Amino acid sequence: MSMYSIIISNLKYLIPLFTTFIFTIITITPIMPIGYESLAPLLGVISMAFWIIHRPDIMGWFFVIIIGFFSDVFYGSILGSGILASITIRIVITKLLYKLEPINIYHSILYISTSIIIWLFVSLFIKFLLNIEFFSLYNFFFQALISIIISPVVIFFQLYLLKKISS
Amino acid sequence: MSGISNFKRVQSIIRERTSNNKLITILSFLFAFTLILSTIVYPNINNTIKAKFVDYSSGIINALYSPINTVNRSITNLYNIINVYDLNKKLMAENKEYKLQNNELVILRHKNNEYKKLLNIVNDIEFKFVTAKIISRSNLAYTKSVILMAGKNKNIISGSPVIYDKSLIGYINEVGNTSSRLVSITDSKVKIPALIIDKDLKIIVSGNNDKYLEILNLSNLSLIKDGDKVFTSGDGNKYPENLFVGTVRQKRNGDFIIEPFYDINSLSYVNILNWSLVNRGIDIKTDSIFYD
Repeated sequence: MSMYSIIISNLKYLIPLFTTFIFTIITITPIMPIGYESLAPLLGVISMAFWIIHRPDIMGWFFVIIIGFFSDVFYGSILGSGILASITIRIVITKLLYKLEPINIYHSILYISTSIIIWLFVSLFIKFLLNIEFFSLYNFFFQALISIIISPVVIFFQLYLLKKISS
Repeated sequence: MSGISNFKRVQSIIRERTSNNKLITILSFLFAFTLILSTIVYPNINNTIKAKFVDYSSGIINALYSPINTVNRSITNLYNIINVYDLNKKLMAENKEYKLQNNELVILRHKNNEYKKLLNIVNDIEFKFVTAKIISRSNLAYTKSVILMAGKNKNIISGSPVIYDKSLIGYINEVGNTSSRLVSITDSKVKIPALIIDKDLKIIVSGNNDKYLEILNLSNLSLIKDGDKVFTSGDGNKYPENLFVGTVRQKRNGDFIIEPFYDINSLSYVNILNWSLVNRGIDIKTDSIFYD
């Protein structure tokens, strides 16, 4: 087996990282309709959580750290807070997976919702610790809600990719 | 759904359970905490790292942003076309009001110039600016910022105020070679020394990651009322004076908030002021603590 064929055959394992990266960038584009653009759904977090739930072997620690780092870079948040949030999400989800039997869509949404809340909580908490500043709880809940509502779209898209990777 | 990849999924979960992750978990946490600590100790280095990565990714960001933004703007235009009659009616009423105000403004401007001549007042500084395109928007519960397509290549420096139509939009936080990050006035870390001109009332305005701004340290609430215009006072040398910040609005519970004149999400381009000492009219030796 040549080096080239090894690379090609393993390339599909980069799909989770690549799609999460793209979704993270889409989060910072004007996807929300006029009047509702003040809070955007956390598409990158949804995508990352999806892959941790379905393929924790592919979405390993290294990939999770990379996603956390680029989230901080793109969102302009405190460097390290995204990494901390993504590591926490991975730990919590893998711990929950221990107690789980086959996953259905409702489980996925539940885990993804948990991930979104963890992400927002960690990010807000670190910012609050470092700056002791105002933050609106309304924004926290509204952003979590928007992300949860939009999550099925990301889930169905990623399910297609998962099917391709697994086949 | 469970049938799609159940075998592989169960396999991977078993692999995950059997592998010893404790060391990797601890190392990952240590890495995250080290980065956070370094942000506190060396904020400039971390901002430079972020700016570098934004520089490298700005092509991809712009490639995704432009088509999505075009679609979004087209939908807005469509909405405006549908509501053209109502909008026209509203604008005509506003225009009538502005015409009246304009007449008053001409007289006031003339009087002001006369007084300036009499008092021999030095003219205000006219700031040079660079116009930059917005290529991303971070609308999150914990941060409000945008990435601009201009950096050191356009002589942008960190801390430069950003305006649009003489209204304050925010300031530059990170500067890369070809891109920079603008922190919006609605971000919670932004504090603006401001003034309600007609009442000569000084206040500190703060963002709270919401659409509106909060008013800090206000001593006398009875003076302030809905509709008051808020401008930058120029105190602290962070922003130039007399930039429009927003309009005071009263909430249902009686609290006052400030509605920014421009929502950063409605803009495609902004003006970055040249904030170097010479361009601010300061050509004497200064202490970097106060002016950088």
